[in-house]
Amino acid sequence: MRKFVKKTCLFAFTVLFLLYVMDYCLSRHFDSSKSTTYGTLNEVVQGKADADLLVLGNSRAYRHFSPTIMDSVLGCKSYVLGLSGIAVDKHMALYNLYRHYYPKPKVVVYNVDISTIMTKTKFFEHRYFPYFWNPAVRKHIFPEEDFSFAQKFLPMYRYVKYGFFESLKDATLTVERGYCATERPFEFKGIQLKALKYDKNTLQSDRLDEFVQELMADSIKVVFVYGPYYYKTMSLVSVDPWGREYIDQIARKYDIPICDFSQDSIMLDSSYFFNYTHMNKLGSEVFSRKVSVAIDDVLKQNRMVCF
Amino acid sequence: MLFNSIEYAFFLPIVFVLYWFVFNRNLKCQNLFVVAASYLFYGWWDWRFLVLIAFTTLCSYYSGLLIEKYRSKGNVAKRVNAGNIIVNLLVLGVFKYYNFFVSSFAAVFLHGNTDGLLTKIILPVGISFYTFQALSYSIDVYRNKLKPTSDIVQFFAFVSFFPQLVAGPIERATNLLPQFAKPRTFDYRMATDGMRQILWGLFKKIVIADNLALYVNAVTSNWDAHRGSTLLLSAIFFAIQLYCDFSGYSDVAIGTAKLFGIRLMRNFDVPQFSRDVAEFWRRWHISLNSWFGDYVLKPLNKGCRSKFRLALNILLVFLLSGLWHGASWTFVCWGLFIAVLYIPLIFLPSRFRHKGIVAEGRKLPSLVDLAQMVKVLMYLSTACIFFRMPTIGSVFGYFGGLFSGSLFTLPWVKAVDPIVLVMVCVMFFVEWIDRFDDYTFTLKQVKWGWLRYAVYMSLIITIVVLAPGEGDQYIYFQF
Repeated sequence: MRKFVKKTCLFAFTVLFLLYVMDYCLSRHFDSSKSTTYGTLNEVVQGKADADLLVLGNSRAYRHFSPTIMDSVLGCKSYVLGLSGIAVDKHMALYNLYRHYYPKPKVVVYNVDISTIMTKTKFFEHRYFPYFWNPAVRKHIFPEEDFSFAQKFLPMYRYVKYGFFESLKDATLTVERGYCATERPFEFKGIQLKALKYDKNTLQSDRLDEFVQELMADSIKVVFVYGPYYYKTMSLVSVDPWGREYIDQIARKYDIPICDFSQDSIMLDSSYFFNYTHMNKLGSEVFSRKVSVAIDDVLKQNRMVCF
Repeated sequence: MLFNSIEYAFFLPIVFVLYWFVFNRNLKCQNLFVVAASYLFYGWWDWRFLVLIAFTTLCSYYSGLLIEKYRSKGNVAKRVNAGNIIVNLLVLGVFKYYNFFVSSFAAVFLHGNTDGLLTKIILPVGISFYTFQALSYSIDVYRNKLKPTSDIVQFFAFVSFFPQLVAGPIERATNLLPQFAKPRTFDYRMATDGMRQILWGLFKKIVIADNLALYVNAVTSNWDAHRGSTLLLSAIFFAIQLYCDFSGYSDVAIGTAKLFGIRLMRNFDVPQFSRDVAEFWRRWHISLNSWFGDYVLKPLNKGCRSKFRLALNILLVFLLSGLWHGASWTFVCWGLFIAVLYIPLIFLPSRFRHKGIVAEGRKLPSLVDLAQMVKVLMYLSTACIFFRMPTIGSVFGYFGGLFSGSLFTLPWVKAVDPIVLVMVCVMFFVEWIDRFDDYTFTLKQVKWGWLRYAVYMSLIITIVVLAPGEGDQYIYFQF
């Protein structure tokens, strides 16, 4: 009996050790990735995301705001901290992670829309997998992402649960200072329309209030930006006035200026978009110029000039 | 709790340690601990249905005692036995078959109107398995094959022993109950055999069954859009998936039981190497087929010499076996289909029937053996279509698509992972080598200990690397 237990334990520890090594190697494999999946977090944890102006949001942030253009117009150093499919809970977590590595930015440009306050969802959770060895990511992202005990502490388990080979696949599009220039022509994708339907009763509206409070307490200037959707989607977005109304209320409550591009002429031209909700490189460059000028004006008007 | 879940990875070592180091001094305590662990194992899924297992167990336990008490009064014992069978089948009927029978009745007599007739009862996992196991006890006591136990804890342990509770093997009281009646001593060799069997079972389930399921699910969910050749490939893959899923479960169950010093009956004896349908059914799901053989077919065949009567009885048994698998007409048709393939063998001279294992005394099968094995695999794959498709209409649609001109085109293979196909070959190879042994993956050919450990390690790494994300539940849980 003792022999069996001893041998089994020894074998189990060897297996565990091997799995830890595999896990570590696999996680490190993504360190140099610039893909939309891992690029932004890599830049953040590797100290390449220092900025005076931080753009926050989801995929519409990292595809629409070009830091190079913003820097040239505003004369500052900007960075886009956006990830696909995330809402305010993870904006907060990401912002806190950012703050772990960098001093506070002077301005936060928050790309808001109805999906900012959408229900907590587990999209693309694999993008956090390589950072499980990073204590800062563990501290800030884990509680929000709600990983299971086994995912957190058992080596390789999270990769296995997602599918090892699936985990190895990396996105082809890359990010530079958090921005992804998407050179694609317009293409209809029905799923984008479906994604805009939210359940009013399950929104995490209080979190936005909490997050804005946190930013204000840090004496950070906040600007809300409503970006454009391709006009055919607008009908769907505008059926959610309560979402917009809620965000406007927060803006009024904290005296946050809003740059509203939801009705901008960009929305009428399909050549600026690659699908109903996301602009391509051409559209994002036009938008970045416009929005930078608007932000500049807003900051000046509100005597918030800081660069 | 699933064998391939993280909870089970914690549950098993804890139970093992407590079983051998804490509760080993007193047999009753050890059996009581088996019951507690088994109820926890089952209750992890849904604790409400523990009442059902307890009820089934109590019915069979007291029936055994009453049968023994009134044995001299033949009719009373008979009535008690019949009563227990009826009560158990009634429970099974209500939970598993009520909606099926009501909707079938409504389809014939009420123009399909089932308003207010159907219930929303969920099917308790493994109900068919433990009901049959409990039934075998009272029948064996009635037949005087077994003395009833007066130790209720032993009996509860026999019915609910967690490795085989939800998907078999369906144990006989004559084999399992006496093992709970005597103190178990730890057997190193048995335990290492068990560990190997668990590893092999997990490999079959996670690496092969779950990966093949990806292709099979993709094809069968959209079967009308695929070519005949793809449908054939999917049917073959499903047959292999089903085998690896269920025999993988049995391997883990039997291996786990060995860790606790308990020997369960073999449930699969390399059925993929069968040369005819009869041999296949002797090697596939042995515990269920022998159950039907002992408790249904033998009584039906008593005193019967006519081959036609035998054929009729076999047809009935296969229909019942189909119904046991699921409350659906597709399963009944599956039973019918198997019977149609099986019955002609009864009329063949016995020299054409294969009794032993293929290629005895040889390393490789002859070409004839190989052709026969492929033929059986094709039979099984065809039968599996009934098993996989949800409705009779879709079964016929699938057959229509399969036996069309597009059967002779190239199948859709883009979604097939070549590594998984290599693993299927590895599985066949290992099981071929060990086809004469009590279980497969004995590694007895490997003389060096370090090499055996290297094989175990590679198998674990293969499982980790090839596990396709969220794996499927075991197919046989639904039965």
